[in-house]
Amino acid sequence: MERNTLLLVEDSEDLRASLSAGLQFSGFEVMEVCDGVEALKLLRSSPVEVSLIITDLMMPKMDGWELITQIRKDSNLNKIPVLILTALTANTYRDELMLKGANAYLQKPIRLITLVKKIQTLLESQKR
Amino acid sequence: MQELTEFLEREWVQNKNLDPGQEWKVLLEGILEGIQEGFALVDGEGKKIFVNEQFCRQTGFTREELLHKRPPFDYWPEEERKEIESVFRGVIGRDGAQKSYRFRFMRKSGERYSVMVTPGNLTVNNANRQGSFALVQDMTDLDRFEESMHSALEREKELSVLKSNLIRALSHEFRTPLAVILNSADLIDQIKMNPDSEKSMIICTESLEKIRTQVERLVDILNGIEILGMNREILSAEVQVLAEGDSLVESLKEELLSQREEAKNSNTIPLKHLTDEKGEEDG
Repeated sequence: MERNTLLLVEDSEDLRASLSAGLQFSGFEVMEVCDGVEALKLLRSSPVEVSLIITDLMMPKMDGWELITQIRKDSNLNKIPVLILTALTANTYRDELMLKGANAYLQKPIRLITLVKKIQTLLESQKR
Repeated sequence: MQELTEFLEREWVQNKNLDPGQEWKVLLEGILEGIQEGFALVDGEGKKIFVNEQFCRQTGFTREELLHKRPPFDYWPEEERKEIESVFRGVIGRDGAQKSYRFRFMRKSGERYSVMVTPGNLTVNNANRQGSFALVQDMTDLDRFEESMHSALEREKELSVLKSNLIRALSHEFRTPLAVILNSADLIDQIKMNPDSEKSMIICTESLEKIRTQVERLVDILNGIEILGMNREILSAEVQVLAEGDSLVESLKEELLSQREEAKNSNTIPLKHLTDEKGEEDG
């Protein structure tokens, strides 16, 4: 069965590593970057098709808000679902992020199983 | 104001001759020197015929420099002259104007100051207007008070934003290590179910190490908060806005180390603010 490739955008190296390992164990291919600038660079140059982007919000260089804006403006990338995984209070930013084009919003810390379920739901709704 | 107008009108009738040195002037001076505000009286032509001492003190001009002058007066600053003149003409051109105006006047030194001018007209026996007067209140102190109140409110607002930012930053700094701990624990759980490869054991070891590291990180944050909590003024102090991407842990660590150092040197609990760049201490 083909494994979906996820792009994980997270500036905390430890969290990036543990999430990446957990997602790989859960059956995904994972590419990792530490900020929005690197994410855009990778998305625009990688030959691998990214199925879903998981991104933090507060990051150096380019934050998650700007990353979503750039992704939604790019006709080659704007169909990719974006899942926000952030330490910021969910209720405060959820509506704003949804308006910007995010597809889901989860607040840290979160169980791996919850994250995986959310990813699967988004990927399935993307197929439909 | 009404009483003052009536009084002036009565005096006007009794002392038709407005020449300085007359009895009416002595009487007016006696009363008008006693009031807190500046007072200026002009005749029907707009010529200044009386000013009280308070008005002279405000403007810095002597009575001689002010009397017998016609508008524009020397204490009308160039930049406001047009507006003041228009009000002045409006007031002396009609009866019963009872309104206050905020202007900036100019002292003899050139310094601008804020005034509240309440003009009035004098009519005698319902005849034509005989003259006009103005109570001029120096608003400098009130302006300063309002400015300080405004600054205090702004500071309060800033402080409120700073508090929110601090709480947000603290929440962020706690949630990220907690996320690492939770994900590492979940990962170990997964590995436990498939403990077949060497790689699994490496990931498991790494995950345990991550959990320990993140717990230490959280303890560091808590230590920093406890030290800061000793400062009773921390919530009313200028707490640094933690820019996105800045590490609260690093800030707290630096603060902790510097305060420990100061405490060692002074044998007292330091009360230094996070943003106290000058290194001053609050008592």
